Amino acid sequence: MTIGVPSKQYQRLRNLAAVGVNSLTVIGTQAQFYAKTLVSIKDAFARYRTEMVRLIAQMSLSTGTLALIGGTVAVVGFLTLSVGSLVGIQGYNQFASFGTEALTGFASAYFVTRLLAPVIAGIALAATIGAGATAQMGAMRINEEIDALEVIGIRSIAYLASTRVVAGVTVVIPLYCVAMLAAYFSARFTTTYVYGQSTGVYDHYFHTFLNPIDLIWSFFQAIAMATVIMLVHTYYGFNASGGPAGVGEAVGRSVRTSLIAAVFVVLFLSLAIYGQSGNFHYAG
Amino acid sequence: MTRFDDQESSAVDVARENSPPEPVALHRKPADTDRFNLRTEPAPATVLTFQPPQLDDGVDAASRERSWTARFADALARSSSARATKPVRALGDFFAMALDTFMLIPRRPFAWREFLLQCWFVARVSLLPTMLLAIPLDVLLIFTFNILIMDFGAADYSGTGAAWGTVTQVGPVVTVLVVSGAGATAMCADLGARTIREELDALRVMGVNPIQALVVPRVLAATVVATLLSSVVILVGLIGCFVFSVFVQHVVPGAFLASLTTITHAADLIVSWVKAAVFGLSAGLIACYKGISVGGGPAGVGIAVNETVVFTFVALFAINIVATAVGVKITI
Repeated sequence: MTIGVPSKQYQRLRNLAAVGVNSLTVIGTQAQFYAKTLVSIKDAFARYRTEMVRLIAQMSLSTGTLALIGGTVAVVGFLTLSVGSLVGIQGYNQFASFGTEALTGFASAYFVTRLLAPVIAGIALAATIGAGATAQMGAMRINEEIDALEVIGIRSIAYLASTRVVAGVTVVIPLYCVAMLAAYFSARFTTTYVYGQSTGVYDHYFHTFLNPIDLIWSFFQAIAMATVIMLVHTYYGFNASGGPAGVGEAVGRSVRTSLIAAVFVVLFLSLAIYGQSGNFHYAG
Repeated sequence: MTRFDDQESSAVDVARENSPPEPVALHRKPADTDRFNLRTEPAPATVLTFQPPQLDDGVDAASRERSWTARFADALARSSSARATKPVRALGDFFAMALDTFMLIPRRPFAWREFLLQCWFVARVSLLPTMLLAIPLDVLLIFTFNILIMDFGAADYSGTGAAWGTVTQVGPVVTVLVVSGAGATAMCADLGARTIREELDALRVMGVNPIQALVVPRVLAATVVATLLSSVVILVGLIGCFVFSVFVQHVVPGAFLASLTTITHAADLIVSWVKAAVFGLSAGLIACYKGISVGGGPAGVGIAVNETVVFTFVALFAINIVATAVGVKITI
């Protein structure tokens, strides 16, 4: 017993237009949410300081199975360790094929600081802290806990999203220290112990080309990236829908989006910071 | 105390005399061995004289379906503290599932429809994000590299760095970051929701092995799509490098193209494909394991997906070190 409904005029065009309008609406909603979250940070500092401290502790140490394997610190440390040793393996062998393997220390100081550490730290952050935040908030949304918060008069965005953004940015600073040290250490270890280069040669080229200003900019990149990642992840968690599978899909979508956003942030910051001149002088 | 116990045991004896003989009497000592009340403690209701080697005693039907390795892991876990062995048990379960999956790949019936649907699904959700991730990463790479070689005055070799970085590292790594971030998370969420709704148990009851019907096609789909996508990533990345180098950093286009193959050869490309395939395989396996072992409602699915992402990324980087070290030996 279905009733035939005549289709409207230009149905396909209408559908196409609806898709376009919807995607614009989604972008607008996201921008609105991000603005609200950033503005509510002052509320979070004024009212929900305890929650913020709790989140900082939770994010740095993790919960559940992740805590058993050492938490966020271990994951970030492992990823950057492996990238550092990649620099050692690829750099040493490739330079050795030209007969210039002495420059592996330079590769570590240059590529790790400018390129690899920010990108890999972003990936690790999105996977651990970010996805964790989305999973938590998505489950809260599905269980109607966020609605309950609003009913009892708690500002849900400030309480859930802003606190997480602040906590994520706070946690990233020590995490990024660990990441840099792990990458430098494992590149040095691979080159000097595994491939047997003398430590003096390695250290000479490493220290010659390690630019402290670059290091500070690298930290700046990491903090900007953490802000963007946390904003994206809180948005997807806050707006999850569709039962248990919906939470999982929200996590996946947020990881995808935040990875892309993080890499674009690093790219544009690099272009802005290093610019055409490159702030690099091989000849001294 | 003894008096109360005596009363109880005698009451049990009386009840046993009145009851008809039970079928499990083979494994029970006769009730009258303790007729003189020599022991202070009451005799247990059933005393097994012979313990048959039942490994799957007390195991539900779901885990009996699994391989002997999984059952052995269960027995081990029951004998020791469950909390302390949790990570080890999870690892063992994962390997058991991986083994089951590999064993079931050549078995018929192969779930063709599910395989094609999953391939299409993974490719659909991954294609756009892969390009969006590959272009900025490659541009970042070539920007940093060009600064370096322009300072040497060797800008003509810009293409060398682009090809080398893209083919050996960025191509396979970006592919699997997206396949695990987009495809594997969706797989895990889907399987996790099915596990929570007990659909997998329903499949087992109907005699369908969920590993064969659901896990094998998903794992293979992730592998195939990762391999295919890595080519797209390499192509898109190289085009991005070319555009950025030529139009922004003013590298000579002919020199860029000519230097592409200076140190990057066919062997590098093959190693790159193998890497992408192995990454895709591990991402699919981890996602499916996390999906079918989920528990605890929406929060559980969310946590499972989160763990999928983390473990996939960790596995990816661990495999990448080994694959790179081996690949360097082959290609240089």
